[in-house]
Amino acid sequence: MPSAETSIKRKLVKVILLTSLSVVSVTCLLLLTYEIRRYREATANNLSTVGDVVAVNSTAVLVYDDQKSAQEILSALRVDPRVTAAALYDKQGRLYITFAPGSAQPSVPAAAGRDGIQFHLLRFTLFRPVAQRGVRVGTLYIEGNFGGTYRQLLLYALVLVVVVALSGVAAAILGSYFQRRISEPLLDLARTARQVSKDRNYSVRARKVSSDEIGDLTEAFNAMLGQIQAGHAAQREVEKALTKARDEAVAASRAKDDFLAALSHELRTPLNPVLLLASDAAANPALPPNLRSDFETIRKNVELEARLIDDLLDLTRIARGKVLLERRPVDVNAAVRDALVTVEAEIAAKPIELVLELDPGQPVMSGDATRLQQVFWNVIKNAVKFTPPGGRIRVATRLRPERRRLEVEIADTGIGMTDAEIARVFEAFAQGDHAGASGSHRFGGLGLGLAISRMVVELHAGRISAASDGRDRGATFLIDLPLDRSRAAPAPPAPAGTQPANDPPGAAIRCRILLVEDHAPTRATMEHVLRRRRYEVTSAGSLAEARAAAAAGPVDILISDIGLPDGNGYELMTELRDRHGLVGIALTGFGMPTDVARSDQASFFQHLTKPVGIDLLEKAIAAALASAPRPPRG
Amino acid sequence: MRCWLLAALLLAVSAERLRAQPHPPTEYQIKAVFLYNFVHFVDWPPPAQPHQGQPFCIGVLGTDPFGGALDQAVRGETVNGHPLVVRRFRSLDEVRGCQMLFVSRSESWRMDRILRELQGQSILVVSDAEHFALDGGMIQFVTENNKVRLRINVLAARAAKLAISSKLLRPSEVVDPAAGRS
Repeated sequence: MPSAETSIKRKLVKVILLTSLSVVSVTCLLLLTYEIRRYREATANNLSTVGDVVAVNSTAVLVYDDQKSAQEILSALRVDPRVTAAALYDKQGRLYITFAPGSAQPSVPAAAGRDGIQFHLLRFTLFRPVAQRGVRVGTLYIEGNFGGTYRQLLLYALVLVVVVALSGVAAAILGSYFQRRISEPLLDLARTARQVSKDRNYSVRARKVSSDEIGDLTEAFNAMLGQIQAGHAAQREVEKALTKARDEAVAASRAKDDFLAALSHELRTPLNPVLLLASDAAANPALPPNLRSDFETIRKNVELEARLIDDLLDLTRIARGKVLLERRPVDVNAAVRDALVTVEAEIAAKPIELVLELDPGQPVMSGDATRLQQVFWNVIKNAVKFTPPGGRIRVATRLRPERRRLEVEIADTGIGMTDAEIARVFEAFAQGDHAGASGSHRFGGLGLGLAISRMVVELHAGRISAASDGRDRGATFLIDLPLDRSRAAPAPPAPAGTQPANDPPGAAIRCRILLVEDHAPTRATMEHVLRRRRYEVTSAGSLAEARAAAAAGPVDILISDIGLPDGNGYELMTELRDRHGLVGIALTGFGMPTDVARSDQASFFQHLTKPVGIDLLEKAIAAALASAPRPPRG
Repeated sequence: MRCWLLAALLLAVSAERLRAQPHPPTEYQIKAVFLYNFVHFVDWPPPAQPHQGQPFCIGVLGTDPFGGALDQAVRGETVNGHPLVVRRFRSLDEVRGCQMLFVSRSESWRMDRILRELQGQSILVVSDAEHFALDGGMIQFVTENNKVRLRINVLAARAAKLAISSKLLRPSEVVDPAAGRS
């Protein structure tokens, strides 16, 4: 940077110049002062001598009043060019005679003044006693100027000015020479520093040219560079190690995800035939009621188990940020109502009074309807769980347009919470003492619902909070959600996970199903259940068998697993749609959103996650057939 | 205010008086001062100097023309520690122990004798009698244009072993009786 360069050079030269000039100037001033003093003293001495002569000579003329002679004596002062006026005063101090070589009218004091010499700026005055044998007979006055003296002093000053100027020039020349010796190493250092910071090359070193402070600086700088270099290398190693660790962690996480997906698949798959059979049997009017009730219990518990598996997966996925919200306008009132549907039976069974206070305005927000419904269901279910029979649950929605928020409040008269429980209520696996450590396990569950709820609410930029006045004083959960700005009409809520089963109407064969499932027990169960419901079922255990079956006979709908021994369901769906114009339903243990998305891509009409109840499956079949581009082949 | 005015008036009046008071000195007042001042410009030989404890004496021979002016001029003055005194003599015989003698004009008629008698004595003889210096006197007061001047006979003084300062000669007229007026 040239500015810095010139500035440091300029500063150094300036310092040198100022120093030398001030030294020379002070010296010259002192010399001048000394000279002035010297000149004054010389003048005083000189004049005293002249005055002595005149005074000695003028005693008699003063005493004997000889003006002419007095004039002559004073005229002797003419020889001294400094004298401009002179005068004699008598014994009484009265002006006796004056002398003025220059002017006709000398201005001399009218009376004698105090003895001694007085210096003024440009002139001096001298009063000197005139005495004869120690007896004062009068006073001599001499006035002179420094004309000559000042001319000499002026000359002197001129010489000094020349000296100052010359020393200034010398200082400038020497300064610009010496400053190089200071500024060059500094600039060299700066260049090195710039190069280091620009190239990030910490192996360069500044050149040490002198062993003075700048040399020290260079050494220190080089030492610093060395440390940075070492630190840099160490840092790089740490970075490398970190990168490795991160890659390993990512790989491990991916492995874990894969494991979880596989686990969920493997856990769900065996549940599927159980659920199918149980739900079918429970709905079978031919069976005695007590048996149907047993099957219903089996169905419920299988569903609960499936829900637990879902929750576990959800929790893992949400915690890992793996959940993508499908944002659409959601009518919160409708979502609350849908959530309530699934617990209505329980509420009625206990019994618990349900108070519903839904805001008449349209509390519409942008969000994932299924997820929100899950949240409301979780909280309401929680309230139902902890409210004893005869209690009351109040579910309210409130619009807060001024805050652009809406609130869902779920209050119960249940067992309530202590402060410590409130603090932990949204933590995973943290049930209240009443549920866990006390050992009663009266209420069951893993305590995942509220943890998932909080995560989902927070994903929607909302807040969920719990409050309670204490044990057995009930609890209030408040869910605060952002209001949708567009306030578009809500889409119809997504179909709920489980809905009350409807008995299939009609007795004729309803349609021809190609069932592709490699898990033999599931395949057999599904075949059995579907046939009993008067579907014509052709089943296949692999891609090849499915192709053959589709080619062999007329088929209306494909219900296919995804993971197959010789390929996957996506391929099959795409192929059969293209070849035979089939619609299809994916039925799989893989429930991840990516899996659902892939099903969509492969033009499956719907993606169902195992285990699935028969009623849900029938609904899906009906919906798929209704959407079929052409009437089923006869 | 009135007081101040009065004071200013008084001051003005007194200033007027003060200015009027010093009359120009009379001829003999001047001569008395001149006479006294000779003690500063003349050196007496040691034998002629006053003895320890003796005053320095200025004698007046004949009728005293100073009328007290001389006493006034020497009052309180000393020469080398000797107080100055004025003594008046009627005749020359009375003149003893004086360093300086003023001869009044009243003695003009016997001036020659007086000078002759004083020859060899270291007494500064001064007079304002006419031709005094030319007739062998040492210092004569001469009045010219209302000013008192000195006329000095250096030889006479030298004969009396008196050293007259050259400074005194400057305002004076030096005469040599042998050569006439110089």
